[in-house]
Amino acid sequence: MTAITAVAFVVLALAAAWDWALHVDRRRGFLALALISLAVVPAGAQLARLLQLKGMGAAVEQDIAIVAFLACGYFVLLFRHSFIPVPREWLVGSALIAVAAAALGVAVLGPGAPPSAPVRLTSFLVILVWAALMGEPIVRFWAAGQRLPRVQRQRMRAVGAGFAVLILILLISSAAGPSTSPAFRFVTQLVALAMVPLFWVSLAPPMWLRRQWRAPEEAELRNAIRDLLIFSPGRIALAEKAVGWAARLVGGAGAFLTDAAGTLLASRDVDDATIASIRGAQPTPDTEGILTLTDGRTAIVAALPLEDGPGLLAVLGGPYTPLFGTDEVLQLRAYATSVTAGLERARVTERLAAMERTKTQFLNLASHELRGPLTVIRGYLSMLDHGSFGDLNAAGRRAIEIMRAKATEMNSLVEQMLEAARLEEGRLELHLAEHDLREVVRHSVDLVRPLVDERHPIHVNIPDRPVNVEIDAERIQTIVANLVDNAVKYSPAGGDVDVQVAEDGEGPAVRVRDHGVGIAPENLATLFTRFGRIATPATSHLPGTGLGLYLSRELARLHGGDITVESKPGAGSTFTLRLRVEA
Amino acid sequence: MRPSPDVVGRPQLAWLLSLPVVARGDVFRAAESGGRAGGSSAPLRILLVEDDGVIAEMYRTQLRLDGYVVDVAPDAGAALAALESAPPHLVLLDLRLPGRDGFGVLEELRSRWEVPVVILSNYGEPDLVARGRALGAVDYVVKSRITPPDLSQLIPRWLDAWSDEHRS
Repeated sequence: MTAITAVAFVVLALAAAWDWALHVDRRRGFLALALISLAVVPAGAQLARLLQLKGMGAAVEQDIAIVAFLACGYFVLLFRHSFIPVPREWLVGSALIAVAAAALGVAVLGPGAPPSAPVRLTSFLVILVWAALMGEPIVRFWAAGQRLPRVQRQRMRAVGAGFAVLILILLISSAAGPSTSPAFRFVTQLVALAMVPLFWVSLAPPMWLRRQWRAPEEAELRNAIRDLLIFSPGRIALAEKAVGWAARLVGGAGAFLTDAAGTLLASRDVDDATIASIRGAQPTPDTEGILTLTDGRTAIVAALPLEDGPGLLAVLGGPYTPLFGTDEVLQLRAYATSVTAGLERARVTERLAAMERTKTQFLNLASHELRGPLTVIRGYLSMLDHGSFGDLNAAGRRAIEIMRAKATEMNSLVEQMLEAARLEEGRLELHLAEHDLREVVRHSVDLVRPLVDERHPIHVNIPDRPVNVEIDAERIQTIVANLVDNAVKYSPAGGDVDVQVAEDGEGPAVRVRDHGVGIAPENLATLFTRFGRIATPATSHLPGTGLGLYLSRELARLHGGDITVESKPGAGSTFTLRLRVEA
Repeated sequence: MRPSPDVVGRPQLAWLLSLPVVARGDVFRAAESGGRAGGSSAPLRILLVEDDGVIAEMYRTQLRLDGYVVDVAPDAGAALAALESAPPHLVLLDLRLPGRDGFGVLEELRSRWEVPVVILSNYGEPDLVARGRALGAVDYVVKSRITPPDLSQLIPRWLDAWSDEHRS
């Protein structure tokens, strides 16, 4: 039985050595050395039996075994040190203790020595020192595993568990002493043997096992991808999430992402030099896959087929990352597809927002600049009208009247554009005060009346009692003037325009009704949108910016109310402005 | 009293709401108001600080017709020099000036002279109005929303408000 165990440990040691040879890495080195020196113990014992060593030979073998045994413990400590450094003093102290124990062991223990108290005590002590050297690392690995991706975590824990069980066995058998039954010895050997696959799993876990470990994370990952796509944060935020997930997905230590221009969008746990060397290898979509760097580390790369060129998503293998295989490459490629979609979408969103800002800036600029010339035109027209330059004949006066009306119209358009820009930028503030709605509406109609011809008589219907509301009078005026203006415009054949002020159960309302062309049901959706003019053959020649109704509804909503419309093509429309009731 | 927005223009400084405001169409003839302060026989002097020559000419024409003496200063330097050499009864101040802007002029002006200042600008943003008020301007008028004759009508009211404030 012991032979089998010995063979198993030797094979394990060889595998570890092979792994080290493939990836020349300090950490793997320490683990390999630990396993090799561990293997020396049972191997040496078997060898001694085979060669029938006696006397000096046996003593030497025993001494080698003791030294190797303690060395194993020290190597495990070094292994731990390579992950999470320990203070210098610890290393030195531990070395001294190990050496002392080894010396003691060599001195006291000898082959065939009677199991007297000092002998047993010494061997117990040696094992204790061994356990102490390894104990802290084992606990550390267990704790550190928390932060790692599942695959790495399981591997760390496998190592820890393996050594822990060995410690346990040795302590137990040492405590039990030589007077143990064959059954007991068989069981301990079996358990020791069982540790070999555990170590194997930590060194080189098979594919199916890795997949199984990864499974719960993959479900999480799919949810994360869905989140990214649905909520579409900005490109950088998305890239940062993506690299985090990419590393977890394939069990890597770090990851980074670049866009088509080569700009680094996000990176995690990977330094610039490594990024440069991975990018330097410049994989194309055909050769994408596994890269081996000069320092022995591996990385997987996947191309991101972005619209303006290929970006790059790369995951770097850590010291304890499994050898990347086809499985991981496929995983990363599939993930890369989702990331690409997310990035494109985020970019489109960003572009749209930028376009909106440009539109608003333009609105602002244009309107401010237009105010200058308008000031002069309106100014001189008013002075002419005023008689400041002498009196005009009737035709002249009529001409002035028309010009003033048109200039006022231009002014309204400019003000409309400025209001719309203010609305977009969130700068629009209402100046609320208590007003009688009837007065406000009457005044609005008075403003519009001069601009309206006799084919569109405006009838105003107001109640006898005051309708007091808290409103921004000027802006309500804007709304009513806009509604009446529309009513006139969209009755090209002429017709009455009825303006009614009412107060019903739902609060105060202003209704503007025309008997014009009406609005088709399918056009209602764009009616209130910015620049959403409805161009039918009957109305496409009519002037208008398309801002009027948009602005009117936004202003109504800022008041806590709304504008609604009822319309029938050919029969006219009724627009209702509802205001919040303010006592 | 509710101001007619077309005359005074938005945004309206709060305290001016208490004054009776000219309603549209209810325009005084130039002869009636005539640019004379109560009792005084000296013509009232207005300093117009405006860099746009065309606009300045327009206001000057109207104000002269209404009997005011008008000086025009195209920038901060000229404005301060004019205040020194020919102190006005009222200053109409544009904000957009070459070099030092209207607010800069206002600050210095208020620290050195006691004279009512009305900001006349084509920008109407609330933060600008607030700043003007904080710096001591009597009112803030948006040029494209007021006509020269209406502006002229407001001058006696501004002067009255100012002298009321400074008498007490």
